[in-house]
Amino acid sequence: MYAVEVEDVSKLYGDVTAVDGVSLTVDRGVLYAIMGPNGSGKSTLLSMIATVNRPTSGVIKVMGHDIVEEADEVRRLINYIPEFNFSSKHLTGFENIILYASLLGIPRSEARGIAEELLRRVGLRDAANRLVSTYSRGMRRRLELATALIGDRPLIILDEPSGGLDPSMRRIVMGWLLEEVKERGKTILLATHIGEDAEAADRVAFMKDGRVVAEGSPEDLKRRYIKESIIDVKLAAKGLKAMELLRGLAIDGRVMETDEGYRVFVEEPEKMTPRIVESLNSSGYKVLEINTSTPTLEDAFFKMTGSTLG
Amino acid sequence: MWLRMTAIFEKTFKEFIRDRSSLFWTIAWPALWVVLDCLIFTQGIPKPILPRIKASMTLQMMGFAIMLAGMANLPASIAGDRERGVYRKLASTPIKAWEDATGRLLALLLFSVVSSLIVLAVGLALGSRFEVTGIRLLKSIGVALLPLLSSGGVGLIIGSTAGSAHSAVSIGVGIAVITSAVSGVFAPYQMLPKGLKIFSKLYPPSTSISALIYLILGRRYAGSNPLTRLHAIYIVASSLLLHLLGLWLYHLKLWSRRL
Repeated sequence: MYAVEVEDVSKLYGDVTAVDGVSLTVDRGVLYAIMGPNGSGKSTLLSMIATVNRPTSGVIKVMGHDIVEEADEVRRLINYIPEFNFSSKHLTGFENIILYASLLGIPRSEARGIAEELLRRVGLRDAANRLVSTYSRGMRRRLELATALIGDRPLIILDEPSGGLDPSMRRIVMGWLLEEVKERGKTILLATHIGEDAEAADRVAFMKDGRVVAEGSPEDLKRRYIKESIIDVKLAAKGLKAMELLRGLAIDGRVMETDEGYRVFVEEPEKMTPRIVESLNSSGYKVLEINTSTPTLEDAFFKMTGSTLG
Repeated sequence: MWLRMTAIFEKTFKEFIRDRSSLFWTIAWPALWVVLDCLIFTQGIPKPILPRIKASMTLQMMGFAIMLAGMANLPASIAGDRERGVYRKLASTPIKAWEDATGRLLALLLFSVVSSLIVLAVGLALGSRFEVTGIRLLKSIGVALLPLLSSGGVGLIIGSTAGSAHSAVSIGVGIAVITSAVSGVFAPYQMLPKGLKIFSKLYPPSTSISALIYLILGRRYAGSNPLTRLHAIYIVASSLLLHLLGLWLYHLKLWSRRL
């Protein structure tokens, strides 16, 4: 039996199709990532799996239970963390954990011990009795992630778990999630627009415009969609003309904008590197750094869909 | 069931008492009005009736505090939770919609009791005097629940429809202040023009506050008898109806999409 089975599910809001005929299965005891840009329908899909929204059509089962027919049963098996800052800023970190433990039916005496343990695990023990209004965005997100671990539910559903976290904290959080999967046998289903989060997953689904457009292990997806090499170019200042120049040199004009420059898809990096430098220099762009880089899931997504995740 | 309901009750009550701006609007402001009323607006009133005049003003401001709690604090909490995605989280847990609503309304009840008792204490300290005992006291407590019921209904409507916690507070305080001003909560009923006297008798929160004053202090201080059999039925029915309307909208807007 799968942890999650989604069969031809669609969700319409008036004329807008948020999720369009999605089918996927999530095995038990794995970390499964749904990756896509904002507005791709991944949050809507997760909210349906979490019994928050009703699908317009199709069937969703969690641990074999139909989410429409057996919603109450499903709610006893999941722990869902939405995208927003849902923790109460007028409660302390400790009180927030107690609140969500109580909502899951855990008695107060037991909840206290759970709260202490979880706050220690997410590094908030010293801030446990401070009001959440005094927390940084990252601390608040860590607290909310701690609520995902209350009650030992077999399926944890996380919407953008690393939102608001810096890269080092993001890696730590992904480490906790992997620990839940590997050591406690839990299934984690997460939605993200950050490629690095999805790299840690056992399986990844790419979502775009409400549809799942590709599915596989991270290595699979990279192998499947990236046959060429990638050159990372860092410039002192970016510009439209630089983008145009690089498109002229890339395969099928595939150039992805990054924070500091561009990622260029090429066939022969040894030959193309000097050509790129020469072309940019002659147009007045200062190249700070140029390297051949390892393909990432974001590259695979870009190659497959033609759009970035940002 | 109790565990989930008390969890929501505790969360909501703590949010009420820890939010400084709502504490100001709901407790400090009505208490300040009692101070002003008792110290400034009672000049020239004959001494024998002064304690009861002050008691009448205190009761009006206790009613106003209850109105503010229902119309501003409750919707601010609801709209804030909706803004932050709390309802998405709640909807994925075993809590039922009615358990959530009951928890919130019990928190409103306790907060209203606390705020009106503080206003009462200020009034007593400044010379308000009440002579109410036995059955009449019990009846008064029952009648005091009516403005809470109707204001809570208005609050549920605001909270379910306002876009943010900030706008919910603004709308709630605005409605509470304006309707209080034109329905005799701020000024004696006798001073209202004819049209507003009719509004005062029809508007559930103001007419139930007037009923409370009538019950505790008598017709002279209430300005009319709002507890005739027919009007008493109207007060209870309209308060209940407003509350049920609020609950229906609350369910429709915040819980009906859940499976």
